[in-house]
Amino acid sequence: MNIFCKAIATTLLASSIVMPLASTQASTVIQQPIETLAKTSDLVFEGKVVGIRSEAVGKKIYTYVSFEVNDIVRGEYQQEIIELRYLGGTANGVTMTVGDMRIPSYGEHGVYFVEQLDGKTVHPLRGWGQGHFIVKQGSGGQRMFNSQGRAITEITPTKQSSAKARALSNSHTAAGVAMDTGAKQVMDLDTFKDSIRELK
Amino acid sequence: MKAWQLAPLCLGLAISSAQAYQVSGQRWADGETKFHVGIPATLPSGDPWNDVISSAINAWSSQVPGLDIEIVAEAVDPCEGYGSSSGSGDSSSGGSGSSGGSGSSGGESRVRNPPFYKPSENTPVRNGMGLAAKMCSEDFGEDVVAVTLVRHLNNKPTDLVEADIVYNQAYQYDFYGGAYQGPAVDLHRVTARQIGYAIGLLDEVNISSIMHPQAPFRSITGPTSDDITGARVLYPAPTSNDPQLRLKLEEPVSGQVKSGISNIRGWAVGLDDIRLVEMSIDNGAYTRTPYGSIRPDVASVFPQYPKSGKSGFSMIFNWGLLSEGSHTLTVRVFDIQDRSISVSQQFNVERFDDAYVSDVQILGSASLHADNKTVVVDNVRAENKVYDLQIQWDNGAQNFNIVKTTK
Repeated sequence: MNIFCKAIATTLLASSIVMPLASTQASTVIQQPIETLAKTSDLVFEGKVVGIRSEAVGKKIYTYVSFEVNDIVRGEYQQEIIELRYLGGTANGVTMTVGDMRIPSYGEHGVYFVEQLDGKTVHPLRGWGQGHFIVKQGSGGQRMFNSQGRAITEITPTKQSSAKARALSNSHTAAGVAMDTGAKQVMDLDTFKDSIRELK
Repeated sequence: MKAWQLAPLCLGLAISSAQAYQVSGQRWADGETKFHVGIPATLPSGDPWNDVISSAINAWSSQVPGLDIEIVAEAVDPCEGYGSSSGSGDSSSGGSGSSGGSGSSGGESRVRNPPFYKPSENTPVRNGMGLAAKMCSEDFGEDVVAVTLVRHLNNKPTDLVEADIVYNQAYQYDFYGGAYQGPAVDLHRVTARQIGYAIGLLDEVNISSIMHPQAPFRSITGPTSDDITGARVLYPAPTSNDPQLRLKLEEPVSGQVKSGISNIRGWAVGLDDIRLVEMSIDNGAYTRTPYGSIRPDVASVFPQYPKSGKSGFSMIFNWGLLSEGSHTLTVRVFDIQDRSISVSQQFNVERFDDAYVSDVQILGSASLHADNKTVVVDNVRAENKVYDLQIQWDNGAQNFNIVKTTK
């Protein structure tokens, strides 16, 4: 490949391939079973992104994402809107990125595991990308995907919570979340939420 | 073939080569950066933190010739400017001597390195690494072992300007050297992964990679071949096919008609630093030409040349100072080893009788020439002389330009 091809290919890879597949488990975050994520999250809700704003506070940049809350899956929350704070974003001509943290985009519909309702964590979701699920409207209804766009087929509670067991896991999202890139039997939203509610 | 026409072919080639690495789109300019490594603690294995971190950094730079990471043995708070917690007692970016860990297996702290040095407040931006209970005054959150913060300026979107790494003090760290044993976190694996972020790579989940989210807890001990391939794409090294010097004169182009005042411009890159760019018209005396303007387009095509992102030269020139007709412009470039390269371009000058015209009136009319490229303007009075003008689009200047003056 000549030098021009290399440069163009690099740019295209960055812009065309990487962006849609941008991973969500930023930095080094230990994988946890899905039931652990569910039990240790203050709130699990289904919602839609209705607002995004970024601001610089000194050298830090925060991005505030507002969600319209459609359904409470676990926990308690009384208001119609919830705002989550992510460290990172773009403000004043500077972009600050935290690992490869993925901040939800405007209009995104998903199910979100909030670690602490009143917390000030780097990432507001429990397990970072592990607690971030996206709902997509398909011909068969609302279907569930992980934050990388991989179809979710099943939620299977696992007792494998030891470090060694985690180390043996092949999944890059929460343990117990089965995925199928062929998307033959993609889980629907209601079944997904019921599965999360039933986790003990 | 133009660059955009090559794009589908190039993408096809890239895909057919089937690499899985993911890149962020940012890189360190010229492939050079420094990390300040100064955590004065020792791991249960007996290895100093700084040695293990340095080893993880070298695992990248030693295999990527185009990437030069200088390790500075100095403690720098990674949260410097971010609301550093060093004053509030929750940071130990080199300071506390802890080897980590309230949350996991115990492990005695064995401080062997010098005390933490706090740099002055006027210190410029530096890449720091530290061990802390908080992530620059924010909570890490559950199960978060380490975080890398990177910054870039939006007007230079491809250039990283800072990267800082903070390890969560809540974990016990160790160095296993081989297979992952647990329960302590392997510092080498985690650092190799964080450095991957810091040089512009992203998570890779489809192939054996230190950038896999769970790689720090698996058998992979450092960058894999796929990781290195990705880093080499970001930081290509010169090959035997790359000449010592490259020079492109972009304006004027060969045969171009020049008039009025506009740029002489182009770019030059060298494997060694460029010392001098100069130009001569019609074999006259050489004149030094300003060099070093920002050229991200050149950097994207020739990243293997140091400082290719600042390789532009340009000079405003009044073509009216030359006589009407054909001329030759020669640009000559020297590097610090006194190697040189030159390029000459023939161009034509059209001009009014006066080199600088300020009083112009159009007394006639304008019409479109049959070639659909030329506007003909009749009866133009400039400094009390009357001309007919022909005006065409100038690709190099991206402007309309007088290509013929007739009295």
